[in-house]
Amino acid sequence: MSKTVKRLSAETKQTLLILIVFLALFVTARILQPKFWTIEHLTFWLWDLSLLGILAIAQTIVILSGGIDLSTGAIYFFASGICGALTAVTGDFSLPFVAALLLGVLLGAINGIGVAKWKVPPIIMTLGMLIFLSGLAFIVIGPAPKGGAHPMLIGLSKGSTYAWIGVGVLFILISERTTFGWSVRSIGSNPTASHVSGINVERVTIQVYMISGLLSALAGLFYLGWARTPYIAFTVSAMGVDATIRSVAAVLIGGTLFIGGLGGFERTIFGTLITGTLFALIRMFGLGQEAILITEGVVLLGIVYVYLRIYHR
Amino acid sequence: MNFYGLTSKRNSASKSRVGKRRATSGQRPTEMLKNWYVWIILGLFWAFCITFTKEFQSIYTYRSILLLAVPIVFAALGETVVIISGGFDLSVGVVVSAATAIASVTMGINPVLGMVLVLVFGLAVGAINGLGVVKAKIDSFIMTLGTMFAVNGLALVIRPTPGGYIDPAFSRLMLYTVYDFPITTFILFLAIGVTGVLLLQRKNFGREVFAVGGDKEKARRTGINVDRIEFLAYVISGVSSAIGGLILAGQINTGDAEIGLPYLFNAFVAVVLGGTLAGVGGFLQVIPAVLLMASIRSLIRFLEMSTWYDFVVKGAFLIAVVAIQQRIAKRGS
Amino acid sequence: MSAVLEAESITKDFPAVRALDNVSFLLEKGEICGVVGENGAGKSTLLNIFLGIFPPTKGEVRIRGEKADIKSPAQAREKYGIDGVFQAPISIPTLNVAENLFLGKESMFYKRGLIDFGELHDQARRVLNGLNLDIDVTLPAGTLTAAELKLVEFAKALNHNPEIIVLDEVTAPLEREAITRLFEILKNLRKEGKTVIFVSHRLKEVLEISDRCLVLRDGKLAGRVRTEDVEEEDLVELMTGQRRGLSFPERDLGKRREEKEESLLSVRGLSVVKPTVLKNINIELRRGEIIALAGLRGQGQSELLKCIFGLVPNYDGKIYLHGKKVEIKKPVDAIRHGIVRISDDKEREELCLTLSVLRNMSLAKVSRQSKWLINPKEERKNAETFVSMFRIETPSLDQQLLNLSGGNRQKVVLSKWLQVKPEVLLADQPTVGLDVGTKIEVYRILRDLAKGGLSILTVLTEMEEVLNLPDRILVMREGGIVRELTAEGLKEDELLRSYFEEE
Repeated sequence: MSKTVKRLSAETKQTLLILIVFLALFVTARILQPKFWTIEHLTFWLWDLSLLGILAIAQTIVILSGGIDLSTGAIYFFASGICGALTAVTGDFSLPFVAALLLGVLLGAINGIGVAKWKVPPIIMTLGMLIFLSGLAFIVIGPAPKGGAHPMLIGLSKGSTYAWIGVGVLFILISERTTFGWSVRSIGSNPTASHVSGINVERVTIQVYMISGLLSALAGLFYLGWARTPYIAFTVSAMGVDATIRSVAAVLIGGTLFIGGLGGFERTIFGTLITGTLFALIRMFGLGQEAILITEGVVLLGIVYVYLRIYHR
Repeated sequence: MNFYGLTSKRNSASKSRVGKRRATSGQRPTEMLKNWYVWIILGLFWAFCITFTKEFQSIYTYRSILLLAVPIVFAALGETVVIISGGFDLSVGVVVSAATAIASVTMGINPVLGMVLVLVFGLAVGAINGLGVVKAKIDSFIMTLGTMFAVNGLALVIRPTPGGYIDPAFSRLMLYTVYDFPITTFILFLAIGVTGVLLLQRKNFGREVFAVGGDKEKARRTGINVDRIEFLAYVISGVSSAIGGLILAGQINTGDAEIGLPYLFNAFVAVVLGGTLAGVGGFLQVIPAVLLMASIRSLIRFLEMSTWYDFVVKGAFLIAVVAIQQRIAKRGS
Repeated sequence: MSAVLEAESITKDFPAVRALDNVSFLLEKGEICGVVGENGAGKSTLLNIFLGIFPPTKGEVRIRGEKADIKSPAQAREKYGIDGVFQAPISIPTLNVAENLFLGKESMFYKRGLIDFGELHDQARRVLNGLNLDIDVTLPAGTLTAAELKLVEFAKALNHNPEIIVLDEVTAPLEREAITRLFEILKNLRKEGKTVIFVSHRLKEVLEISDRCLVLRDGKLAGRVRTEDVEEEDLVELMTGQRRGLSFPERDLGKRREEKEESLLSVRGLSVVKPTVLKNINIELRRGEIIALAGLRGQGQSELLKCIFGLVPNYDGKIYLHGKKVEIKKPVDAIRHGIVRISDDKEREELCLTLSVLRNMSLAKVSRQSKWLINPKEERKNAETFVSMFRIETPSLDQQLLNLSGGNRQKVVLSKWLQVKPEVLLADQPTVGLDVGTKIEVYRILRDLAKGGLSILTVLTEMEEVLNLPDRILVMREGGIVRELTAEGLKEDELLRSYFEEE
């Protein structure tokens, strides 16, 4: 048996591991709470996860390109806040919606320009953006939640699971079947070689961050549609940092590491599902936020360690 | 040792760089600027503030700046050492919070015990980070991200809501002033500043940290125990941040599991502003950077602007500083 | 006769190649021993064993009669008294000269527990002054020239007072005067009873300074001679000797001479100042022709190829394709005009090691095509064609590139570039690091491509390749083309001489 295992490629081993971990957790959840596997509950559970899912997909494309986006959570909240405020002012649906999305794209573009043109390392650029937006969001929108969600948005938000699935499928296709997708992976694997091969590394990089910003904003809009008001916690930690590091953790748990070019959207989806199952399990034990954090940290490190062993680093 | 004449050809055509070979008098100003620019920026900032605000003309302002700066500078020391060694430490913020949490719980039993436990905790987190990076070969970003999660959770278990008991004598000591001069704070700041600078610049260990960050493989070839250096860097970070948290607990007289994040931000921005990169930099420039961070915070408070402007400014600042540093580096090559 | 160093049946194997095969010799106290051999003969490998970089696979090293198990450079230095200057610099670029000189030993300068920099710098100056080196010790090592760095590392090695001094290609960056003085130092070291191992490509220097010579060829010891008994030609003969059994495809020269064709690619007056010097390069490359850029390493050959491919931003001179002038400022311009390049620094510039074979093969094509959709089936088909054509050994197209051997990686790189249907191939050392079998395959492939109309400009470092693969040879030295030779009928010693000869 171990001989067969050795003959499998590293990537296959990783895929198997992810599937096994997920199934193990999923089954355990069912054992502990039979109701977990009902359609009703599962639909709710998926819907609850969908926002993190979309953020994780945004994070995935950035990590595939060899970078990281620490500002996803901040764009998430900022976009939701702007949309809420604009809705309160105009009472319209489309204008605030589109404006929020454009804002996400714009912020992403700034990230991209910083990384591609000014050569600021992605960690620093997006961290700076995170810090910046954390402050800006509060100033612009204020500590008291202003505005609300348009009824149409509320309705739309109920279907965020479909949006997650749709985005997921879309990006799997982009990753496999478009020159853009292939370029992103090569840049993540070896930017110099990509440049030498004729790929416009700068342009693709900026586009990647713009996409991340767009998706983060989208997730933020769904959040608004669910929360009805742009809830902004008074402590910074709730303000986007949590969401961001959760999205990074989901991607890492799913197996897309910083090695560059490896992994992918399918993996992230599983990473998100594993994270979600973990959350559910912990809640079943009646434990709270602290347990989630500790478990997430331990699981993250444990699984990354195993991945690294598989890839023989 | 007897050596014999060997001249490196100094006057051949290609040596347009002869001038650069020595620190000629023309070179001195640029060199000085490179090593002291943060102090200059701090000076200019204070000059600006003194001119335009009442508050910066009062001694109380500088006292509160110093108070703010102390925990940051401890966290910044750890981050500086780690970054110079070539890594990242995301966990400094949560170690600070957890330290306050642990203090608030254990000091009730015995204040000294509490302090010792905090130090042990910092050591433990640092050691775990170090092992993960050195032995398990996990990228420092991922490793410290993981510990960040876990320690954050741990802190919340210990201290779910802010509160707890900090030994009053300890608190008084932390806030002790003599004729309005915050003497403990000053001594602590001075002590860590001097220790940090000396450790990095004037100790074998410090030089080796620079070597490892400069080129890990070449350092290994020279016989340096790279693993030991990296491990110690993370341990120093853990202990230093824990001490910072302990001091903070004394200042605010509570334990708070969520208080650490701004310390990560401020420490990080200060370290980057101080010109710290893998293999280059030093604590000497980080010290004024920390003071600058604290000063900006104070200024914003005085202008009665929302504290969130603090973040706006620092976020933009971080990006701008690095972009400029990259520009300069490019032009130099 | 006191043998200070004895090597017995040293063999060293690497994953793809046997670098040293049963090498035995001994060195006396107070002698300077030269080591010569072609690229890949095993010189550096031998030195690295003595310097403690890696152990031999088989065989034994004895120092002063005792068996020596040299585990690390530090051990080589401290326990066995062996130190030297590596071919690649070992100085940390971000630290300054003084710090590099005493790296690891700063505790020597502790005054009350802290490093006394004044003392450190003074000592450093003293060490450098001993060699009359006028370098500011506070400068970062990264800002020194190659020559200065070499000399500093030499000073550093000497400062440890070694018994055995190993010098690997130290004269390469130095000017004549510095070399003369260096040799005086070596002679004095010999008088003091030290032993010097001197590796160099420059045969004249080896003959000048050494007492005896070891000649390596294909990892074996081809000769052990006293310097006074030999001339340069003898060394060359020992270095080249029996053929390895490399076979080269036939050239098509008859045909070439008839078709007085126009040049496909014309380079006129190419000159560059930074980062390396190129002086007034003129090349006419015809369709289906193979031209080799030869000469010693580092004379500007790679830089020339980089310029034509658009990797060097500022150059003077013009490039013409089919008679029309073309502007090439970045790689994508070159590719658009049908010029492609295989880099010598494959890991940095060619290989996406974490990606699959398939993805690597499509790397150049992906950016070129106008459609934004990719048809994976089509890509697979194309890739498979190349796999069978070049006989690339891989279990599947989805195998990660880092699991392939060097030779197969090279073939993947070649496939990648051929997919954009180029007219000109710039190949920078296409066979370096490959085993004999793969080399023969690559030669065949290149010649077939040339026959099919592809023009090839290639940098070759091994003499045999230069003599047998191309149609014409351009010998480069110090950034300029010093000789143009027709390959057919050219003798090896004539070629070798052209590398060293003064104009």
